[in-house]
Amino acid sequence: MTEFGFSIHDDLMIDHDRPSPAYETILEKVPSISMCISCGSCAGTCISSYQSGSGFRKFIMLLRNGMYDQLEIALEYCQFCGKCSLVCPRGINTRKAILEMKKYFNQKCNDIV
Amino acid sequence: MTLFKSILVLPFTLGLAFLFIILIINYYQWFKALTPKNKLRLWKSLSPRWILSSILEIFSECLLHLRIFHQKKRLWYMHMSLAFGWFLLILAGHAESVFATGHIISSPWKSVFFDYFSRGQQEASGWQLQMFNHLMDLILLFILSGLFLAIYKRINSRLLGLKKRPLHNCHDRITMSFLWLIFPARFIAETLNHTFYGGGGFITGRFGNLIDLPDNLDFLSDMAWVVYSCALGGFFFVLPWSRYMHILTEVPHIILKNAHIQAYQDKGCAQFHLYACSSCGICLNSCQMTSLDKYHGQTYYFIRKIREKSGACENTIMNCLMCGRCLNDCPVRVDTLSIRMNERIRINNDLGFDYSYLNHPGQKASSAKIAFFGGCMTHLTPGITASMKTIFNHYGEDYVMIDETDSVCCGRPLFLSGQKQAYFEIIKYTRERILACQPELIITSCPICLTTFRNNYFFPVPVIHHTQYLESKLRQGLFPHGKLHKQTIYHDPCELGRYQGIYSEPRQVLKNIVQLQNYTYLQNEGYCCGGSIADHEMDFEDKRSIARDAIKQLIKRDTQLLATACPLCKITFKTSGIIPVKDIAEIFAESLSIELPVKELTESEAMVNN
Repeated sequence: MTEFGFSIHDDLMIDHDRPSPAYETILEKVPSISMCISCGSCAGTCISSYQSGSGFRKFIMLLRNGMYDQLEIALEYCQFCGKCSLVCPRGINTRKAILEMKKYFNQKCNDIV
Repeated sequence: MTLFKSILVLPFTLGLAFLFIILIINYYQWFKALTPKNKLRLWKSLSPRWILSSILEIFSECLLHLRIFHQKKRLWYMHMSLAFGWFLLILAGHAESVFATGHIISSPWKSVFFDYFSRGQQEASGWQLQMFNHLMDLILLFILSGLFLAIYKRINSRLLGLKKRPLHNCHDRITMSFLWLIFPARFIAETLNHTFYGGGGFITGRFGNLIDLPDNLDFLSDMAWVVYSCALGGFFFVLPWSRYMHILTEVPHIILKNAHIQAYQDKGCAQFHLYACSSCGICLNSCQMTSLDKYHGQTYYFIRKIREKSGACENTIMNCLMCGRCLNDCPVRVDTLSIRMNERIRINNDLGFDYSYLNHPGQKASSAKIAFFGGCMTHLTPGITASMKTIFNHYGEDYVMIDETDSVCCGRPLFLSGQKQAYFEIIKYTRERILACQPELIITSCPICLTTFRNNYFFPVPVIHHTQYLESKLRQGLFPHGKLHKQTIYHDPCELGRYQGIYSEPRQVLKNIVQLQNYTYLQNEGYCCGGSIADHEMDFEDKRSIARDAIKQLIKRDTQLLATACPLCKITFKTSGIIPVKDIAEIFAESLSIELPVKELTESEAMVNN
């Protein structure tokens, strides 16, 4: 077996077959998120990505992979400026998707409380 | 009073009493819900001038509907004939009753059913009462003409100036049916009254004489009066839960409006605004989203849903461009933007945020006299920033570009989404960052940032839009050398025009640097580009469709360039690909670099030397 000099952590492994209830819920409300091709235009233009490391591509990646703890934190950095929606080549309604994600996790927190 | 007379007045009296009880309870609760600050403001504004202006507005708007007159004449006649006509009918009916009985204060049913109670006595009462009969007939005819238009509006609303007819809910339709029944019922009741008992005005009397019925059918007249009473009573019973609540609520709404009490974050005032809305449908026709059938976030639907028990759903609340066109056209001046913001804050204010990463104590900004803030949208159109730099260098200004290398948001998108807490958190960081430059003047090229800066930043120095800066340079006589020979149309961005009232400055600038085709303008009539950050529901394609429609409305056949003063409008219009779009700063910078032809240069030098 070829040794590449690094290993993939199980939690970070991209597995689109892994069920993600949050993704299903958001997809129902914002169907356009299924069109994301992870091009990174959104992250490139994001005003908070430089300082916080977040961005819409990251949100979608974390959402698809069910990494909700990290996603909840990353979502809090979003300044909601909407630049990502203007540069998206697939015309995804990113602002609505982010708002729905924030609402989803906020609702979860409230339910737990 | 006989038993039949009691039965006759009962539906009307019960309905009226019920209506007043409900109104008193509602108004008391809404006044109680006003914030203490607004209650104080209401008491402080009590002055003869305020009372007089309120009375005048109540007369001109609740009865004469003058704002509709300025927009759509036929629709105005319909509304005015029903409102003012009914008012006159009540007034004349009471005057007739006072004249006949000599009592100034009498039971309301006595004047409403005066013709019934004075059966057979009218002919002997002299010409004065006969004059009253003619007058009442004239008013009734006036109302019935308006009612005819109202019915015709259901068939063809375009004749009355409404392309899109509002589709009312079941409850409103029931109330409307009662209202429509009132006046024909009165007409029939009076006509039959005169058939059997004589008298009557020039219409009801004549119609009454035409109908030849045997005397033993006089119960038909009684029945018609009962129907009239039931129509009135039924209307009063269902009114408090229908759109017709506006008839009475417009009065306290105007009183609060003249006391400068706003619906923003005030539940009580918002209730008055909500129920003062007549659901006339004018806003539905002002909204550019109406051309797309799949969206129902327009003010008309929003207010209708919010008045229902279930309330407005999130999609409706978040589906609005917040361009302010509906607010401008609203004949009642219902502050729908504030009501929508209240709802957005209610559903989204508790969402989490963390902007501590913006805190960089070590970061030092260079100080300068002018601080230029481009904003997020200008980052996507770097041509504007480059042009502003050229202009500043040309005029030898001491300036600093605050967000040239990295950006921070003004916070307005957060606010418009209802995340008020997060908005005020962002303000802290952005304000600190701008003031670190110790500017004497803040200039921004983004009208969205300008609105936020002026509303919530409370800067100790003036904040202006870049078009205002350019206009101030022209006023100082510092004109650019050349002029672009392009037929140009200027588009008024919503936030710059309707929100900030800046209309003339951009036009003054453009007049000097291009061939401007729309120097004259109608205030607050501008079109939205469709790319507004306030909307969360519309797809990219639909926004582009709105932009295309707006451009088609704006440009003329020979227009070569579309000028705007908002980076977001520029981006949105560019995507439609119909016409080249440029920001005023870009055109201005271009005109600075134009070399004058040798002949003109010699002439201008000669002028300078002389």
